[in-house]
Amino acid sequence: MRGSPKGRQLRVALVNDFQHVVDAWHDRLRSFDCIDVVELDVREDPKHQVDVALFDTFGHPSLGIDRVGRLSTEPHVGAIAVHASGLTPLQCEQFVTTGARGVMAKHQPISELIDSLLAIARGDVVVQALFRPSDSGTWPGAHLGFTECESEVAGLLMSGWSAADIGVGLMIQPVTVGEHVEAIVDKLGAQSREEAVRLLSNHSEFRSSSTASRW
Amino acid sequence: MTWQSSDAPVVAALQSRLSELALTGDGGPRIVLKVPAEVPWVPACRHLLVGWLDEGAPDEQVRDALALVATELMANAVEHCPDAPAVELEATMETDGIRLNVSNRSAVPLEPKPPELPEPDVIGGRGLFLVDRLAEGLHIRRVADVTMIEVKIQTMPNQQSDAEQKPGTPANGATGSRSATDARSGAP
Repeated sequence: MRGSPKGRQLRVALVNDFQHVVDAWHDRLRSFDCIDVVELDVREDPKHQVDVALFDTFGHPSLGIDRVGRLSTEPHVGAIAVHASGLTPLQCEQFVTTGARGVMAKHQPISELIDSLLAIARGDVVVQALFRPSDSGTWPGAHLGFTECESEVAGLLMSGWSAADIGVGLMIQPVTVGEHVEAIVDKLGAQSREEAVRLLSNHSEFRSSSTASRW
Repeated sequence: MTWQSSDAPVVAALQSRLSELALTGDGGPRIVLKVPAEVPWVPACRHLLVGWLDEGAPDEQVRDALALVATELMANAVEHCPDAPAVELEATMETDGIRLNVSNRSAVPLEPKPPELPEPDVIGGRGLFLVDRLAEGLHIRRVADVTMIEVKIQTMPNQQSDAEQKPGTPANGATGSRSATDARSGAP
């Protein structure tokens, strides 16, 4: 693993619309001395000077490419690294073109992630696009047995999105949205989508998305 | 392959970027791409590589040479090692050029053909020939089940080869050099 910039800790901001997601990543990164997680930004942009803003695409309509574009204009942010579960070649290109210096697969071992963050902070471009289903369980509802996709759909359902809007926002087919909703209803032991949404409101990790804006 | 004196602004831009990044240590700037060994990722890597290069050296010849060499090497890895799950491409800006490494893990060793131009009616087989003409130091290694191919695209005058070609010529690449375009057309 390469050293941190000029021998100091790497200052990182964790960015996502879900408190649960940034908390989970904070827990995973806190044991590494070379990393200083300066702030957790839930629906906000970094306020302190950071070497890298680690942006998690979870729950972002259109993967949050526009959000990365905004982050890239932030004077506090040295570089942006995108953390995703699955991207097409074109989406990877779009993130880099928009201003990200790194795109990393979530299943990547944590040591490799840190190595990539250090390289990005030094000015390298790193794309680690070997996507596989993540087993990190960092998403809301993982303890309920939700897959990451189901968790994203659940978060948007909680925000009052229609199935059609969710399909467009997450770039998946309406029929796939329907399958995810069905799975969510089953896993919660609910009888209907409405009841599932009511049950989800008891789980605090889904609440932070309630004010997520539509694109 | 060497470059002409008109390449001076490119070299200056590269050196400027290199000195900026030298402050952070660990050598020149790099781009590292680890992608699935699948055809759609090859053009994506080419675009990412060209975009990265444009930041420091927006020179058409360097960009074209690098894009072509990288595409050929990646396409070879994808086509000839069907069991390889991934291909890794790493490019590093050095003081006199850009070093390119393409590697993949495969039980099937990549057995490249000699970099010779095949007969005109033969389909394919020109990849390594082009790479050899556009880049220097083509080096292929296999360690365990990993095949690594390394080349270098020169951005600075190659003093030794210039001196060999034209003794007494100032070693600044102003004369006696061969451009990427010449190399692509097979000109001597």
